[in-house]
Amino acid sequence: MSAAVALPRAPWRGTLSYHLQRARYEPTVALGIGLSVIFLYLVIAPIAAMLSDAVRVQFGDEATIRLPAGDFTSYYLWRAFRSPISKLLFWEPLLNTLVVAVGVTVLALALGGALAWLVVRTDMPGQTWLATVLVVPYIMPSWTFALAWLTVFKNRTIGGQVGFLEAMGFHPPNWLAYGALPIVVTLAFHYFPFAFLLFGNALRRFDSQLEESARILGAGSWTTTHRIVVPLMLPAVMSAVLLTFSRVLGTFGTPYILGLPVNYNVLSTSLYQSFRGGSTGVMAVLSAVIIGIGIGIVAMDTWLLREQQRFVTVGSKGAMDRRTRLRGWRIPALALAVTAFCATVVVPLGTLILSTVMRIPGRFEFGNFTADFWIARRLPAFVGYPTGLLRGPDLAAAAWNSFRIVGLAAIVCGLLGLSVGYVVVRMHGTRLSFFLRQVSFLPYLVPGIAFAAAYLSLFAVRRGPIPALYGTLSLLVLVLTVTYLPFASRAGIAAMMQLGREPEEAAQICGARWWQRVRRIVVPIQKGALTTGIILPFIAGLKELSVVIMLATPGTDVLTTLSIRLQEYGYQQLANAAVLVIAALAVAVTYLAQRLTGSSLASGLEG
Amino acid sequence: MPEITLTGVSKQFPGGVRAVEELTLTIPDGAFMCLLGPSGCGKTTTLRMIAGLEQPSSGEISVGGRVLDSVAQGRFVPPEKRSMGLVFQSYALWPHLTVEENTEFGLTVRGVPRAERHARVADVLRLLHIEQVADRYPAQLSGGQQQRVALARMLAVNPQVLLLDEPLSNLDARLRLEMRAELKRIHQELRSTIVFVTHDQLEAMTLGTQLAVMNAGRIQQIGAPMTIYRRPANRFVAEFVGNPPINIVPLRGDDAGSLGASLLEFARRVIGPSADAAWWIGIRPEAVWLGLGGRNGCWVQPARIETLLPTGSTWIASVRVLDATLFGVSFQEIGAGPTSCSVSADDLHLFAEDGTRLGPTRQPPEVRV
Amino acid sequence: MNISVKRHVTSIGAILVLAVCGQGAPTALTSQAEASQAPAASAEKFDLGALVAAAKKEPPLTTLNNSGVVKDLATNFTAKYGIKVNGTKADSATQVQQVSREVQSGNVKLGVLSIEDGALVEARLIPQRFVDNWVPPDMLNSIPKEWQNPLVQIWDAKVVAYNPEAYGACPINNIWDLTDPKWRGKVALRDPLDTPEEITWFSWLTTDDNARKLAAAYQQRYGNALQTREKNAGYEFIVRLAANQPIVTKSDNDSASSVGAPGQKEAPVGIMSLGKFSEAPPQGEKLAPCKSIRPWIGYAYPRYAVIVHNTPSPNAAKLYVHYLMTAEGAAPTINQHGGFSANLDVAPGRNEHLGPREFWEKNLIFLTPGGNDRAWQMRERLSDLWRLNRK
Repeated sequence: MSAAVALPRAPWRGTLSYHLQRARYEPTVALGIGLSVIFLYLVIAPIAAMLSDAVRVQFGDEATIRLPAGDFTSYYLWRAFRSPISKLLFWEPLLNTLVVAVGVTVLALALGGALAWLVVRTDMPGQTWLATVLVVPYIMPSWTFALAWLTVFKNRTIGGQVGFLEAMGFHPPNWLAYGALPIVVTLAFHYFPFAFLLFGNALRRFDSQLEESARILGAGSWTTTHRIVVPLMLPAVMSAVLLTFSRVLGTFGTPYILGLPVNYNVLSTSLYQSFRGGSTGVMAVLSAVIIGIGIGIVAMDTWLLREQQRFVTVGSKGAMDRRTRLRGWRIPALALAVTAFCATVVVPLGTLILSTVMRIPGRFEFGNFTADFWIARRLPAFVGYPTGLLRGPDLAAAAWNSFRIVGLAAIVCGLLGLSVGYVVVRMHGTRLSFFLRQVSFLPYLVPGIAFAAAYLSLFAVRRGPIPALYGTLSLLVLVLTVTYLPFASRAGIAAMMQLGREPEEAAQICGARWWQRVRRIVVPIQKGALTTGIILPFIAGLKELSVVIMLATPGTDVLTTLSIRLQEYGYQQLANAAVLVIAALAVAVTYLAQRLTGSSLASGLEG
Repeated sequence: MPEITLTGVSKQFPGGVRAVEELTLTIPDGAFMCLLGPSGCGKTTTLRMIAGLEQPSSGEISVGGRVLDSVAQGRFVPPEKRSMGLVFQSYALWPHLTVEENTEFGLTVRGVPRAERHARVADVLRLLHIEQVADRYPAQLSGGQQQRVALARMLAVNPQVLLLDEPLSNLDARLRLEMRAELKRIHQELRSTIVFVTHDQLEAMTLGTQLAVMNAGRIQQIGAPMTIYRRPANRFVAEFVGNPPINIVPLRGDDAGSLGASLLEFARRVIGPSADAAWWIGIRPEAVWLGLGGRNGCWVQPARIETLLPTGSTWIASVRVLDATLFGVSFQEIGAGPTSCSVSADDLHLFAEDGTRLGPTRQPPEVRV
Repeated sequence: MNISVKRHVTSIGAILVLAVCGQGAPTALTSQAEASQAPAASAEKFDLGALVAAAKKEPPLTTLNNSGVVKDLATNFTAKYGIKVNGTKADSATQVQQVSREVQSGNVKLGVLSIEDGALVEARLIPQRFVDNWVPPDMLNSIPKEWQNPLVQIWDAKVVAYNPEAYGACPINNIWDLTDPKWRGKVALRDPLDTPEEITWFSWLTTDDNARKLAAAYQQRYGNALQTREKNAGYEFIVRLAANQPIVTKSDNDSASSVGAPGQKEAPVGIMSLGKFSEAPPQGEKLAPCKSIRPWIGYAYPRYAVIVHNTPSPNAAKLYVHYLMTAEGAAPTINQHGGFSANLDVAPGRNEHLGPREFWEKNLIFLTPGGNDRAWQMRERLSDLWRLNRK
């Protein structure tokens, strides 16, 4: 029988010494605190700096506001929300943003959901092949579709080279060529793979026995679908909705290309205009709004996640994969899927390729075809970029920048993600673990372009130990790293959870100190996860525009900003060629990575 | 080989769960101590605290007189410096290393030269009869082989204390029996102190030299296996240890013709008025003698054997006596039908209202505090 | 783990936030090393040779230029002096952003800005000491005083252009035609919100002098006086132009394509820079400048040359500015595009599409440095005016 022994209350000196000794051998705690503080700073500080800019007189505006620079002012808030120009600066862009986001979400979900069901739950032919290629639209840069659209539909309204249709004598109306419709369609093409993957996974795990139980009990097909299947798919649906919505919120390239010419502004393009016009104050206000919406979305997502617990399927047997027989509908279904593939991959890419080899758009004559835009030694009319794309130094320089900036960011991101995973799992159950997990997901709250704006505010000048970083590659590396941190963290946490604590504890018992166990046990086992954690941000960063458009300077152009610059100067063929190069690179790296890690990167793209 | 002492150790997890409460325990050196209890009783947590993988919220842990963990004294020795060995329930073998590399890991990190490592590893693998799989990876081994590799890895560094966390629960029956014998043999050869966590009472009974039965974070009883079996400290221990489980007969709130009343009346007669404090009586199945027409000085009642469950070596009989059913064990073939059942007074365990065992107290309980 | 991490981190976070906010708003830098840059013109004795020698010892010069001729300028300069120059084409907004942040961060790489947004230069860059003005001392007399601060390097022009294939001669002769319903949806021009010289031109249209000329031109065109609710005819012109559904483009190239695309029966007209008349048209566009529109055919705008403060190559920068002001520095622009150097000693180019300087002075509004302050102050108001009246 055990007897309770009362110990004297521990003196504080003993407690302190105890904790210090523990910390000495378990650097995980220090690592966790360090990471938390760093991430907190890297996310909160830029936002704080930007909010500060929103309410202080910016240099150059003293005459307008009649206050010295640095003083508090509500001028920018008034200008953005209440002034006569506020309709154009904020309210219309806000409405347009919501219209576009809702439109894209609905269309992408419909397309993605339908295709997912066809590919996963029926006996349609060609499923494995389709499952791979239907992800390609996401791998391409988001504004690829916009450029392709313009190549076909652009009319005379905004000058510049016209599209194929206009050149062939048709006159596409404005609402077809620019504005809400093309933006929604092209973005939906880009984002539907999200829904496709999410639904696909959910459907795969969905136990068809659930459906069958309902049927046996006498429920008709429709009742089964809407009372059993749909509610259980709800978590996947909500996830897809929120993910897509939040991405569209921060997206810049497509609305810039298709909307700005006809003054169809969304919040991100309005922000960019303020930036270009030097209205730093208004830019800060718009960023704050975008971030506010982003936070609202994530809050909703978290709330829904809690609700989701109700939908965990009860029952131990694995999911049965009974496929619906389509019978006579097999071929039409295949046709539908192939059409989707053509519309979202073949046609856009084909159009772009065609445009890069035609001198005058729309003229399908033999003499009009040329490889000049790719390989000519000299293109005299194209001042500033006077060579074929593959010949000149600009593409190579931009590619080199892309690779080293994005490469470095991806490596740092991967390492940080694994570290986060390590700390979170090792200290599982503690408040530090919970806190770090939340903090590493914070960048999710801040949609792309607003994040860049915030970083501009913060790192323009020296702050504490960190020097001012504008114009340096470090700033781009930093921003990209923080942007992709959530994905790397999620991957890292998943990987470490799968490993568990015990292999490392076993090493500990065998006498290995912290560094020895990390080096010999944790890292070698997690090689695969680390690689994935590096490759995914790399691919995403290669085609990233929204975040870098305001931070890249002429000396630090990356591939994506080069393409937009060419577009801005009106060098349409070169711009199209550049975006094709990016798309090709992204697809190539994805394919390589898939071979290397042997895993389906498609699963990582859900992040 | 040192003795392990835990003094007033408690563990509270973030979130308020109290896994271990004021646990005080001494494991003598060279003992094979089994921590036995249902899941969630705190036995694995205790083991991990001894290993240093968890830190107690209060209390002190020392081994061989050397304090390993004490908040009061401000001392903490990390697991890597405790010279212990631990076998996880999941084995936790490192998938990217071969059997040989897994086993020699402890030696590698201690900087033991290659030749010596190689020799030592060969010894250990031979000890466990797995020298032929030295070059394979864990994924290529069977469950039993993986188990032995986990053991080998632990033994390679000659630890002072061996800690085992339900290591046999993933094995099939035959393998389990083999491994139990192996462990016993290793214990005898190496004379190390072993702490073995299990929820299987049969395993604990057969392997341990000392048993600590735990429930809800507290130790219910410590002692030699047979002592615990014969003199359980309380109802929990009595019911947990023994298969088939002990028969528990409530004594209160029944009417005159019940089994409980009959037994109580017998107990009063034989043991005396102290029997009145009892609320339950426990009778081990093997103490229920069947069909011998009664023995002298025993409680006897006519009974009816209703069902027989042959186990191969014995028959478990469910016996209807008065208004209740008892389980008895017979080592000979018997038939169903009317018979008599008898229990000797020595075999009656009396339990108080709070579950504490009252008697019989023919021998003093062996417990060390 | 019983460390109350959350509490600690929250307080650290709060401290950080305070630290960040505590840093002052963007303020002008008080630079320590003033010595190297002497502002404005100074009558020091000018030794070109010494300047070259000093420049050779410095790191390569980096320069930004609104025009793509920067690549030719860089090559020629390097060929002449053996000093390496990195020249990149960048628009005004980008140049301002980059130089601001470089100087504020103390990490200056740029040397010289060839920038067209004079208003911004005078309002932001010079007062905050991000750039310094330097006039080559040996040219003080050949550059008109009013073009010296900031230093104008070269005058370019934007004029109304038409498609000679569609119209034999220029189809408009009064500037108010651009606002006429006849030309609704058929006037191409760059987005004023993104084109500093255009919005500066707007501000010039609203000066009393020019507004009077506009009112007179209106009277001549329509026979009656202009009725307007705006302050003067200049504002009214801008309002009507915005409301006339112009083809707003991102670049002069796009404007040129719009106006000059072959095969158009009713081609638009457009406002674009001289360069579009000389470059071999990539798509076979047909373009010609209008040479007689009342009261102006367009405007002349300067490209300035200023030196970045604390540049790592101050002497190379000065040498480069000096070079820009010579005939060789003007040559790539004026021989390809037209226009003329601010240095009156430099002869006009071979490819002058409009005519001699007198023609320019008669038919174009000159956006001289003197109007920069006003242009800056009015910029936001004019931008808003434009946006609010766009249909």
